[in-house]
Amino acid sequence: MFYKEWIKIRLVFWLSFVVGIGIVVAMYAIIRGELADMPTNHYIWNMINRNFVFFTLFKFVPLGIGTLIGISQFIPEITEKRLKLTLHLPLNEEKAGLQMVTFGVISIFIIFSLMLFAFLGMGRYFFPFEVMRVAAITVAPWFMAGFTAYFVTGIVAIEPIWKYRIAYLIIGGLFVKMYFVLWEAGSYIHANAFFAALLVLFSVSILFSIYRFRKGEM
Amino acid sequence: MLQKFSRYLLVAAAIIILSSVIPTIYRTLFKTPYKYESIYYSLLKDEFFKSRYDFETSSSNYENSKGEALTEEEFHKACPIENSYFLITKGQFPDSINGIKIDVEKFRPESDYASIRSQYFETPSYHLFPLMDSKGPLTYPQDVCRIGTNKVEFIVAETNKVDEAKSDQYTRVFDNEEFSYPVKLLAGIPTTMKPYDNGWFITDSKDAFYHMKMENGKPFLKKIQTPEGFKVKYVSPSTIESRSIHAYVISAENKIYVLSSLDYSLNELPIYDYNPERHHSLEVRKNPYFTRISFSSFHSKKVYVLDRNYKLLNTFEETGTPYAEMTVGKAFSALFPFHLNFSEGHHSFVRFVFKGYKNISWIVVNTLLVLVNIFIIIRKKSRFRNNILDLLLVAATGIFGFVAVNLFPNKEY
Amino acid sequence: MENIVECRNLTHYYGDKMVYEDLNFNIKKGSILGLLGKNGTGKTTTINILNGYLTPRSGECIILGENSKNLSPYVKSQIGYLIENHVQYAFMNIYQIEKFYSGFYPNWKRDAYYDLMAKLKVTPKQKISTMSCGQRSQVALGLILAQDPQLLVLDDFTMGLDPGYRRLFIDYLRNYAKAEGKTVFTTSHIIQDMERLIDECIVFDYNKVLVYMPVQEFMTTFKQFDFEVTNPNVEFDKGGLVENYEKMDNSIELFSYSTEEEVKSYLASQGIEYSNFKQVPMTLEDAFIGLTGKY
Repeated sequence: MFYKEWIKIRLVFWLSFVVGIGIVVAMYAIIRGELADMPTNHYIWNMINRNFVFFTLFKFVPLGIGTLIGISQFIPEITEKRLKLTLHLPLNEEKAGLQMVTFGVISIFIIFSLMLFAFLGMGRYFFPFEVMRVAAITVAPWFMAGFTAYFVTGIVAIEPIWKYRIAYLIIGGLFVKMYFVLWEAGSYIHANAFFAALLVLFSVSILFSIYRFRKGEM
Repeated sequence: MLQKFSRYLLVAAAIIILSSVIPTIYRTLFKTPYKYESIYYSLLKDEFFKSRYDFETSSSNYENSKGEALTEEEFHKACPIENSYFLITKGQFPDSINGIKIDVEKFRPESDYASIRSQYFETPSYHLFPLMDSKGPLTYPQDVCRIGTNKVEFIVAETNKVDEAKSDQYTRVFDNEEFSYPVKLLAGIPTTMKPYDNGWFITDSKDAFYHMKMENGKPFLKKIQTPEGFKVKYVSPSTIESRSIHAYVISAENKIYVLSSLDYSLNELPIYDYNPERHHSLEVRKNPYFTRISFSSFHSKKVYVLDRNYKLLNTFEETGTPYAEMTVGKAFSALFPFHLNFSEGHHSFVRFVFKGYKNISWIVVNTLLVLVNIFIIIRKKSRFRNNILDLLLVAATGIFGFVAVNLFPNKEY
Repeated sequence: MENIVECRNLTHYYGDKMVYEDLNFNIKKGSILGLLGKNGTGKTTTINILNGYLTPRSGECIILGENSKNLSPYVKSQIGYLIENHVQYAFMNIYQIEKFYSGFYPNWKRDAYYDLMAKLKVTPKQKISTMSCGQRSQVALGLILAQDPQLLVLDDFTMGLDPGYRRLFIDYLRNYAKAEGKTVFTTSHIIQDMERLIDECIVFDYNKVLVYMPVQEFMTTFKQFDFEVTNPNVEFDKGGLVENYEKMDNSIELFSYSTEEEVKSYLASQGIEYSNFKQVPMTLEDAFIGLTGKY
């Protein structure tokens, strides 16, 4: 199963990987340029006092990556109702669905981990630990939004009825929006655990759409 | 089985998000008008005056404590100290008020203003701060200060490396003063847009209260004597020109203190009903002759006027209708058994705050929705046994559950 | 003989629109059943029910002893399924798709697949999406042959195939099925060449089943009679002796399960004058059109 999923997403995977890391590198290249014009201490005061967030550049990148991976994985399944082939494979249908989602989650996790690693690692070169701690707290929900977008793409794509697709898109959209209620860097410190718990609510949601597909909703 | 479970997870997600979205839409649609009203104290008449700004006519209306309207000029004359700016420019400022000689020269250095929003009490922090030289020019230092788990460190911004010599110097001073790491609270004014620098007020893990400064490149740390069991909740450093006040301090018991710069004494103010969880903004306005302290909640406003020795002169109180007792508020609690907020007035973090179930007025709407849902079930010829959990959800969460369970169809095959 | 598939009292509606009611049929082990019908008569619906992609309003299908609503992985491995239009994972090439499927089936017959692929003029790296419809059908067939299932379910496999490929597919399939004792269930709306393949047929019309019998029996009992009438306004009652008829001016094509004598006596009893009466030989396609009408 993973082999098929890999063939579907590999192009998008590498693209996301390159864009994800590329954005992080580009961001620090820009910061390097800004630090040449402005003393570093002023730059840091801007962050600390004026709530300047230096890493907004990739705010929506995880969201885009999650959506793209979801699209590349699920759209080929529903074009010509190819999902029928997948459901016809000699394994339990729920297991088949969960394997697909597991693969997607692992792929996204790999990209996001590397992005986060690059982001924090390169950041430590410029800024003290505390700055990167706050940055990590702030970007965490953006990455979670990426996972949510992936799950939402899955249930929307596989849902057979348009009316419900739109409904799920709205609920999913509101949910994703929630991950972006930022008021200042670090505000999320108490919310991240709850955000993560909510993410779990969506994790097996694809089964619901697959079930409806399998029962012949049209 | 798992697909049934996945449906309930989706329903739960929908309920959570709807409990934030639907009430927000309701509140936007039925906004309660906000009154822009300021209260002024007249030392001359020992009376409170109101000024209300009218956005439609772009003008201010004034009235006295009896509710009689005043012209702007009458108002300025009635409250000479609070309107000193206007009167001095017009040359109409009185020499004395109630026999007290007024020295216009003293106004600026002895005036102060502090706005303390409950939101600031808990706020995301980098735990890094600039320590300027209080005796030097007002510039940003080249380093940032960190009070770590067992030492003080200065990180040079340019190189992102610790300045070991300076760090050791400070750590030694902290050790001498028996500072107990880590730091709990950091209060200072991290900007150069202030008349002078006065360092930082910090508390340690044992709630001891300190004043930390750098003077001519040398560390200064002063342990402030506090009453037994005293805990600092919030410090608002003062920038009063005369430098007679270090800071306004709120204790864990919500008492307000003025930290004097003469002898680091904490003067407790005779105000006992301030509660930052309810009163989202506290304002301290000081002039050479009295200090006016006002705080307000959603529907009430309270003003205390204290004399130069912080003895109570007069108080003012105004209470409106709380939201829950207004028609929109009553309808709100009848429609929504609970709602989700991401923020609260007394901190600036994103938090998931579920509020509700305070009264039982929602029972009517919930019962109705349960009946409607039963009707839907009958029309779809579904079995009740399969829908019991759905109905329970609607009964418990009302409109949110109703939308959610119908959004994700509970079909049997 | 043992039944591989038993469908009992199948009833399905889309909304209020009835597809069929109380459909019953069995597929015997080793036989080839064709489900024939025009577009939109419920052929794919039946296939979907059979494979568990659709739950019927009522009734049930038992495949290899299991209800099609919940097929176990083992039974699914014993059903080879060819989707309408030969849908496959078109984003893979023939090498990848073989590699993918082989992991799922312990008795995977790799050679059967590659033997068939060798006959196609495709490169191993060519994506299935870039192949012609005929080539795709061979890929889909090859995968089913390699899967080596007991039952083959083919949904309208003739669609989009040119005559050569159609003939190839049918002959290959019949030889394979008969040699290996496989059971086949196929649907089609193109009847041409079907008589070369199927043993039994079910003919669907909108809302009802017209025929369910062995092809041989159908072909021998169902007849076409042509004659000319003097009165061009003559009408026949359908349902009794007359299954269906077509009229062009004075020429009548009448379709019936009755013998020539019975038809003649029927016409006489109705007082219809006719001439040039003759029985016309039919192919399965002719019979199908005769039964279901041209519209």
